[in-house]
Amino acid sequence: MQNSEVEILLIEDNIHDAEMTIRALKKNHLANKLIHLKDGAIALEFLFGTGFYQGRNINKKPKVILLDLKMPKLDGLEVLKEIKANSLTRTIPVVVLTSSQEHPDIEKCYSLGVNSYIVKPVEFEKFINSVSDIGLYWLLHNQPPE
Amino acid sequence: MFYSGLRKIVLSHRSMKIHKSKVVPRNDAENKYEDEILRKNIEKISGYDDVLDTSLAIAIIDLHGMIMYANDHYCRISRHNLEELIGQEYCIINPAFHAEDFIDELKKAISQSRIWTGPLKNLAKDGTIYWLDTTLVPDLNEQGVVFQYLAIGADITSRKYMQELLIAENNSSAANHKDRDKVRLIHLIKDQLFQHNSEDHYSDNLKLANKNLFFLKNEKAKIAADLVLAKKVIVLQNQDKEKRAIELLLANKELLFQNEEKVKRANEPLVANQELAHHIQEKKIRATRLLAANTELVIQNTDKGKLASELSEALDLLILLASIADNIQDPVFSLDENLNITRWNAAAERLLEWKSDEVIGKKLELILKVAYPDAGIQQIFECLNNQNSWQGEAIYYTKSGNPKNMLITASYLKDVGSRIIGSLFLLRDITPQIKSEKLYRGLFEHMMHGFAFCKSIMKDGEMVDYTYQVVNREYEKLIGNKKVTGKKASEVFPGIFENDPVLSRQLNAIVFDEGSVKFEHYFKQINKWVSLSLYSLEEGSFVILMDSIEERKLAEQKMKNLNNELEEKVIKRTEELEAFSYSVSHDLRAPLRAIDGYAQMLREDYSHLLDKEGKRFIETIQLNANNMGTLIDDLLAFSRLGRKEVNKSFIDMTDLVEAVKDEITKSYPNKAEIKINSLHPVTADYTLMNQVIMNLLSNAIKYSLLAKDPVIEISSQQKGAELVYSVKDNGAGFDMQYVHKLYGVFQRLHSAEEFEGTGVGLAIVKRIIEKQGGKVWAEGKEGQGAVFYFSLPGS
Repeated sequence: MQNSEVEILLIEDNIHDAEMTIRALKKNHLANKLIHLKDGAIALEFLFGTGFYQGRNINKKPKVILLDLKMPKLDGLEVLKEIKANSLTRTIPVVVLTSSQEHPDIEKCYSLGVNSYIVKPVEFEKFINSVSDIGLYWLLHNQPPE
Repeated sequence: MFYSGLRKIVLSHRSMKIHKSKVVPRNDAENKYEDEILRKNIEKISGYDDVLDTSLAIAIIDLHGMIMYANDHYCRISRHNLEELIGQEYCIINPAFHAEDFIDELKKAISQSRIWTGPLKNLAKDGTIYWLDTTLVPDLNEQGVVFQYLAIGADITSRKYMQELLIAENNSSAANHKDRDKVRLIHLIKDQLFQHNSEDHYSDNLKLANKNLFFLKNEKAKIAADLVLAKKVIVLQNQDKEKRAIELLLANKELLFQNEEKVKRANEPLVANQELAHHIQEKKIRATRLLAANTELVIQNTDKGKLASELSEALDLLILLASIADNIQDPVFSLDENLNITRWNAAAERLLEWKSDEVIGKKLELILKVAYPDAGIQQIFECLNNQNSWQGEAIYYTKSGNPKNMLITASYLKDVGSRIIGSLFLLRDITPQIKSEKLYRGLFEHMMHGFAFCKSIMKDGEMVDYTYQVVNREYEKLIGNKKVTGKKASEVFPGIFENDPVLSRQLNAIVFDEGSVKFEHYFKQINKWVSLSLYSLEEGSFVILMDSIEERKLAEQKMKNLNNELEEKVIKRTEELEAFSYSVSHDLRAPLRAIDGYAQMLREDYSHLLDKEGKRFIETIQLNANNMGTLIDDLLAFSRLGRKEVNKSFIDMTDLVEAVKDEITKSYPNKAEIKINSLHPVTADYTLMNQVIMNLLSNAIKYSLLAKDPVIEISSQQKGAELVYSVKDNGAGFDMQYVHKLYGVFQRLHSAEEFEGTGVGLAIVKRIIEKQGGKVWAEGKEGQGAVFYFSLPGS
């Protein structure tokens, strides 16, 4: 993946979850312009053109960010906080991926301005459907502010 | 002894001449009584002594015929002195001179309390005969009973002699019939005797008057006065009486002279006769005057009688007091003005071990040794000089040296002129009381409870303060104040009633209800936890028993703190555990997801490479992964209940069950008939109750799937304070042997092949119901259905 058009930014440390997510999106032909980053720190470097992504054109923003909450180094909440605190990234829709509906962080996510969230079901089929729905919605139907 | 001394005092105040009675040995009681009668008689007579002594012979005779008293005239006539007469039989003095029937008549008369009058012939000491024209008057007491006789006699000896002589001469001359002159003389004498009889008639009047006088005296006059006033009156009256007595004496002398003259004239007949008649006339006049004088005397006696009566009462009282002093059970002794012991009663002998004859006349200080320095004899007398009596406690030693606690009442004895003539001491042995008081005092002082005896102070019908009357050491120690006795509570603890409403209320309650109360109280003023027992006594008094419970309260507080710490720890641990279980279940889900996901990918991408058995394996992997996912979800839901708060509200259970039924039948179409009876509403958490009904109803549906005509019935009933709800089905049921396992987490009575499920549903029901104060139970029979009950507290 290069710096050109990125439609979906997937931030997920679990590679199996990431693979299944990407597979689900692919099935709906949504994964063509997807970038997968494995932790929150690198994700912020990508978004703000720093560190490893020094010099990246930060005005090329993904259309949606799929963010896992439980991650090493910077977890999903901290990443979300940074994204929503910066005017550059504030308007990018963020969908949080979580293992349980019961997660106490969900409320925090909403207070930080998350746009949606998906509970990752154990059943693969359901998971595929959820991810597809959400991807389609945000990529195809949502009109982000210019 | 006391009485005779007293009598001396009384009698010595009399100015009148008193004949002392000869003492005849008799017993004491008799002696006292008779002394008393005699004394009264003496006083009765003494007023008239001067008069009567010169004219009439008077004797007082007791019921046995004994002479108790004789006046001077009697003594003169009988030639006896008084001492010789007293105690003699009245009849002895006049031995058998009279015929028996004469004496019988006399006795009969007096025994009927009549007055008897007649001439009595008597033998004088020197053997001469004398005649008394005697009147015997029965003396009646206040009850009208004869208690003695008065014998009043007029000397008619000379007349009797003359009479006898004339009779003798008459007899002799009548026999001779010789001397005409003598016969004439005899006739003259007879005439004269006739005259004498007339004269006797006047004399009878006089006697009658005298009888009246004595009768009246007996009725009214009792005792001559002792009082100074009485004395004066009597002296005055005596002067009058003396005058009259002189007159009476003169009259009598004249009468006597005339009698003698008459005798002479009897020898000189004719001439004398006329003169005699004249004299008799004069005598009549004098007798009338005497009668008048006597009447006046009676009137004066009445006045005297009143005073005498008062004195008598005073005397009776003194005698009574003396008797009381002798017989009282408390020790009594008296002292004269020099502090010599004058009286010492039997009780004093018993207590102080000194016999009265050992101490009478001795100085008190030599007898009684004082052990208690504050009440020496001198101190007592110093007090007596300032007040009429002294009362106090003292310790005196007995003769054998035993100390005795005594309550002493001392007072001066004063005569009628308020002159101090001695002092009287009344003792009471309070040694036993002092001993028991010491015992209780010791207990009181050394008891380990604070004890305060208090008196309430009321204002407008409410106790607003109290006074500490007696407190023990422990109480003072507890409140940290050494001097509270006599102080008000508001002085010891300022503002106690205003600032301690609990104590104020409790005190008011027990004082008004006269009850008792025990409670634990934080005594702000002394900054201590105490156990207070309040006991009401009479008339607003009460007792406070106080114990410090500071140590226990500290221990309690410590325990409370420990409990709180423990509680906090438990909460913290629970939170940690929940975080852990969440984390675990979260982390478990990721691999499960991978297992299921990759199995799915394998099936999708490589199913053409797998045979039927290979495909079944993959399905099995996916099925188990999903089951495990459900288990984890249920477990999370169950642990979530632990921290969920209960928000109670009024729930229409019929509506709630209907709603759940609709929801279930929508997502799980089934053929069961669900009957919902009218259910009792309940106050509970709506969400939780929704979960309960959801679990029970879906369970019932699930386990009825195989039944032929499944019927599910939901009912409720009120049982006492509880509401009991039941969900009944006719499905698979269960073996009651395993009923205890029904509500356990992950406990199942059916295999997953028979009925799917994780075994958490009923555990959740149990947890929810118990969290709201209810109970769960179930009944069932394998193959025939089950009833699941739960109860909740009714409103």
